[in-house]
Amino acid sequence: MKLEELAVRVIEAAEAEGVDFMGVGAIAAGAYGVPRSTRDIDLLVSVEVPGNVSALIRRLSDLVRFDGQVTFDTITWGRRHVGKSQSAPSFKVELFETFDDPFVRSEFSRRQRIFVPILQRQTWLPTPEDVVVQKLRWGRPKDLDDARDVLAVQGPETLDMGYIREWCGGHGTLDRLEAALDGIPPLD
Amino acid sequence: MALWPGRLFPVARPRFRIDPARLSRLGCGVMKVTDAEAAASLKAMQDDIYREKILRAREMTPEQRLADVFELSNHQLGMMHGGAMHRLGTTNPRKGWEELDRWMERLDRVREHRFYTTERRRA
Repeated sequence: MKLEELAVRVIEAAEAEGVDFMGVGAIAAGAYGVPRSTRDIDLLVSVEVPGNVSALIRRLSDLVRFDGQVTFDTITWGRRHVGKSQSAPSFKVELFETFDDPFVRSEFSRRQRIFVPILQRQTWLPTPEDVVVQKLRWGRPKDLDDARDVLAVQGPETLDMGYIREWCGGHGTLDRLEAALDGIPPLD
Repeated sequence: MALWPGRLFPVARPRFRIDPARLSRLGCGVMKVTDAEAAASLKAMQDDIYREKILRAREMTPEQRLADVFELSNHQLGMMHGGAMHRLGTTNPRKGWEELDRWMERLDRVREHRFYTTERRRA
């Protein structure tokens, strides 16, 4: 199985269960920055309809084995369901639940629909500004690289830097934003 | 690349000692490069490589970049699978995938250490 085949199956399952979602992680960062490899299909999934994430996990159960125990990231304490595809190669499916966080609510409400030819379907992605804010908030080395890449490829002049700075100010990540901008060499 | 026209020199401090006499016997000259020069050259080279990646990505549409994510991922996994089979000395692809799976699980544990937890706590 190829990664895109798994992505299609996960997206189809989410749509079938009426789970609102958007792609995050390397897929979202790659759409706006420098494409990099990944073995994860990461979705931010809405929990507005009670029980729909459990239904999605059940629907995927013939293909993806989810860990019975949810995990929490230690930055925002959001809930994450981690699954492993029962295929060769084995990929990871991570479902991050939306939760009562102003930024998560904002980025989800601003998600954009985009047609992805390799998937032969439309899917939902965050805006590039929200990818930058989210990546700077998490702050792992690969997140910081992704944020810098999105800033560099899109160009700060085309992005809503006021929106980015406002959220980074709230998250205490303005220093990371400045470091990311400083890391972009002159492109002329 | 026109960073250092007409000359080549090491850009990183070697982790082993270079014996100038041995290099001389091999017909190699040694250019003295200060740490500052080496660091500046390394930074210039990194910037050049990064600039090229950015400019290439800018020429692509989001759809093309997304396609690249999937193609790169499949390609990299294929290469790692080959590496796992070689490491095991097997021609059995299934064993290669199992070994690769083991590698990736170890990598996940390292990357997720202190970043994810199974107990919810408030910071």
